[in-house]
Amino acid sequence: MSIIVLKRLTSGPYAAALLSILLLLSLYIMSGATEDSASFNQQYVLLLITILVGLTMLVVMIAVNVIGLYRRYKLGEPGSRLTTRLLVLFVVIAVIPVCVVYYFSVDFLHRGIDSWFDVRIEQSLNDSLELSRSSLDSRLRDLLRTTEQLAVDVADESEASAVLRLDDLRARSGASEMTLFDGNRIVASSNIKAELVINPNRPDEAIFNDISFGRNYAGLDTIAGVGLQIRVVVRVPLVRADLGIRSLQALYAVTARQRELAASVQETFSTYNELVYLRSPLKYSFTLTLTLALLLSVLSAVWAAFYTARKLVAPITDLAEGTQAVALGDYSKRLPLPANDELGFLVESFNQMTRRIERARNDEQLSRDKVDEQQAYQACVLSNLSSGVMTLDAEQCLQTFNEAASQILSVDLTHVEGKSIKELASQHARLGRFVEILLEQMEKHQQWSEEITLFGSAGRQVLVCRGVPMTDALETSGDTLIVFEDVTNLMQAQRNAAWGEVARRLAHEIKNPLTPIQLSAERLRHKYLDTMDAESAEVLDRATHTIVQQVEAMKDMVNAFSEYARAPQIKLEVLNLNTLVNEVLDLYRDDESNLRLDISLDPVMPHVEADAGRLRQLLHNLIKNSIEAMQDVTPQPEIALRTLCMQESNCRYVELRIEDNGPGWMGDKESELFEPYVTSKQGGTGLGLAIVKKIVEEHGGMVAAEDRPEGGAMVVIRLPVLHQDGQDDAETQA
Amino acid sequence: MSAADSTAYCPDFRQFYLLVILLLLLPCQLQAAEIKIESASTKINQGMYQLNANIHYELNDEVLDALNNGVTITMLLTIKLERQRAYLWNESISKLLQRYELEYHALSGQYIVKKLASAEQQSYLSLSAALRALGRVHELPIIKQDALQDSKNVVVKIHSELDTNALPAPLRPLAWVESYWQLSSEWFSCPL
Repeated sequence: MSIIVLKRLTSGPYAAALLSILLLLSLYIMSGATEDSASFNQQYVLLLITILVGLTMLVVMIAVNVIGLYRRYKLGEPGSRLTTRLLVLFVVIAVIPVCVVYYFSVDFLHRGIDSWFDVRIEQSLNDSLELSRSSLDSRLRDLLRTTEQLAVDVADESEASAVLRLDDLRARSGASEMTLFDGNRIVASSNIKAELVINPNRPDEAIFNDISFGRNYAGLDTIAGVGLQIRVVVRVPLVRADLGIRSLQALYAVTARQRELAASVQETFSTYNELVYLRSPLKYSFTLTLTLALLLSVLSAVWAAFYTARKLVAPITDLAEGTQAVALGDYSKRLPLPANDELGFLVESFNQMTRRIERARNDEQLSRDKVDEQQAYQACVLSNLSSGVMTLDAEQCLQTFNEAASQILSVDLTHVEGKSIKELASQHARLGRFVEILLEQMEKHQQWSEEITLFGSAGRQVLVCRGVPMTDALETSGDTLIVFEDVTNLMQAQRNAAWGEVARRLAHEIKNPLTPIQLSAERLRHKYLDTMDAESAEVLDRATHTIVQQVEAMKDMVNAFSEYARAPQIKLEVLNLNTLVNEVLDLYRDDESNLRLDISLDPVMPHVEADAGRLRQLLHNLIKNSIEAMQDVTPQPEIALRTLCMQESNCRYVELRIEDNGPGWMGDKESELFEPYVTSKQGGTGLGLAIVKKIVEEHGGMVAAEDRPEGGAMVVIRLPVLHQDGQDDAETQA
Repeated sequence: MSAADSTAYCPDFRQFYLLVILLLLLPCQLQAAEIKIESASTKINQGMYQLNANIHYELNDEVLDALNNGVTITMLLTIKLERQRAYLWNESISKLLQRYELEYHALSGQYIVKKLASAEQQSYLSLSAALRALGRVHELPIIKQDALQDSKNVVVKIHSELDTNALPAPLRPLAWVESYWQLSSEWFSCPL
């Protein structure tokens, strides 16, 4: 947390603002240091270095920003051009006035400082100095003369007596101090203050040199603690050969007024001269401070320009990017909100817009998904419907259909999808009637229902067809929904049921009078045969015999009828078809006839669930049917019997094929072959194949009959396999 | 191959040498105005170590110009007493700062040398005399004999410089930047 705060403080606007404030403070302190405040004297260089380092840092920050901006400009990043434009604008606005102010400030500063000085003042000061000197000159000359005379007085004084003499002379002349030198050695000294005699004031060595050359000295001098004094040093005349070069120095006080005036002139002159001299350094110092201030202002302004431009452009750049994202279809983009101003309002509006668009898109997607789901559901329902469904538009073109429609019509409807329904008729002549009725009914534009019978190679097919014009939905207005069902099997079942009822009634109604008829005929014969003559007896015998025989035949027929009509409860059990087939065929193998059996049983035969007795009856019926068909017609009758385990589209079943080399079905239609009372044999009840079909259907199987291509008839029976295939297979193989 | 031959084949080196010579000459020019401690010695007088030193002051034109225009020039004399140690840096014993002022008195036309520590002042007719007086350190007490337990390995280090901090305020920025205001001597050592 603290690291983040520190990082934020050392980068970005805070760091730059802090740096600028520090620099400004340093500059203020530095400008103070140029005043005569001794406390900051030592820090001046430090401050200067700090300011320069700070300015360098600002320059580096700006340079980094400039390079970054240049790169972004080159890459054509969004917002870089606007940033550059704003930056240039800000820099121009900020820097030009500052530079103008700087120029005039420096100029004003220089002029201001120059205006402090005046040639006339300088001249008058020089003059006053000269005047001061000249006013003292006459006194200097007088005092020189006086001192020269005093020197004569001490010329022959010995060192021992010189002190007394000097005291006397000093008192007389009014000097404040008088000293006698031998060379530069003090011989004797006298002072108005007795304590100063020990350490009298010494003249400059140069004066002694002058004295040695015979040049006396008289001049003004400033003495520590005393102030301005007149110093006169004169050579003492040589009166004795044993004395060296001696000199007498006398210090005369100037009057208090003169001292005051002279000090004032000296002070003013010196101060003015110093000021004149310091004019250039002063300008330099002020200009330096001003220049640093300018640099600080300009660099801070440039940096602030960078910062401001970036801050201003950021939301615009965000908006540009957001707009691009929206153009590319990304509505999830949300822009960060800038300050609470017009730009902020714009960004907020953009965010609201994208939020609404996204919501609308999501809603639309949801409803589209729902529609798709519904359509998929409807398609699923349609495809699983046993009824065929089709929609035709106003131009009788096929729009939609389900799988059942293709299956019922036995054509692939995808080939005519979107095309006129008439093409279906032209491609499949069998469906001509169907199409004709559809077109005919559609013209009426009302709900209709009709039963259509089609005839084709597979036989007769009865369709119940219903049409509804769709008028409720706008886009499907004019379309017609057609639903049709194949009711052939239903009608067949109805017919079979009707036949069963007829058989049951016939058996009941006919069987009862047959026994009295037979008994009556046998009684007639028994009673009257012996009483008749031979001729009549023969007639009677033949007639009663015929009656009894026909009654027997009728009894058989009635039994067959009742057998067909009877619907016993089948007893299902798990059994192996191969075993059953072998058991049944064993009965025919020992037959003395020349029948040849060709048996081919699938070794991998799964178990089936069936009633063994009914299946035996089925096999007997079929074999007997074949034998009877081939009797007297085929010299070498042959029956082939095959069992197979097959699989078709996830459906396993066992197939039993019985083939013979007889005359075949002789043009009988397959659909009629299994109808009761359809027979091509004399004396046949026509119930054999009908019972076969009944048994197969009881077992949930199907039966088909067709002629073999090489001659002869073939019956194919398919029975469903018990649902434990793997185990059953294994058992069968074992 | 001789050295002359090698330089003949390497003209770049000749330029390099020229540059080095120029760089060596540059300080010599700066040293035209200089402060040099010519001699220094100590003696014991009445239980006090005293320093006698002779410092040569030579002012450049800029400084002279300032002086003649009424600017007071302050010379700072630093005297340090250090004990030399075998393996460590020298141990500092004491440090003494002495300031001397040199100013021009326009009315009398004399140069005045003031010793700020003792408030002594002396006037000189010529600048050279004033500078000579300025450079003459005579019997300056530096430390009491009692204060030093052991005077062995003790050295006196002397250094003199123009005190730019004592210049008038407007001159100071210039003095810190311009080299002609940077007058100072080498450190001079003498045994105690």
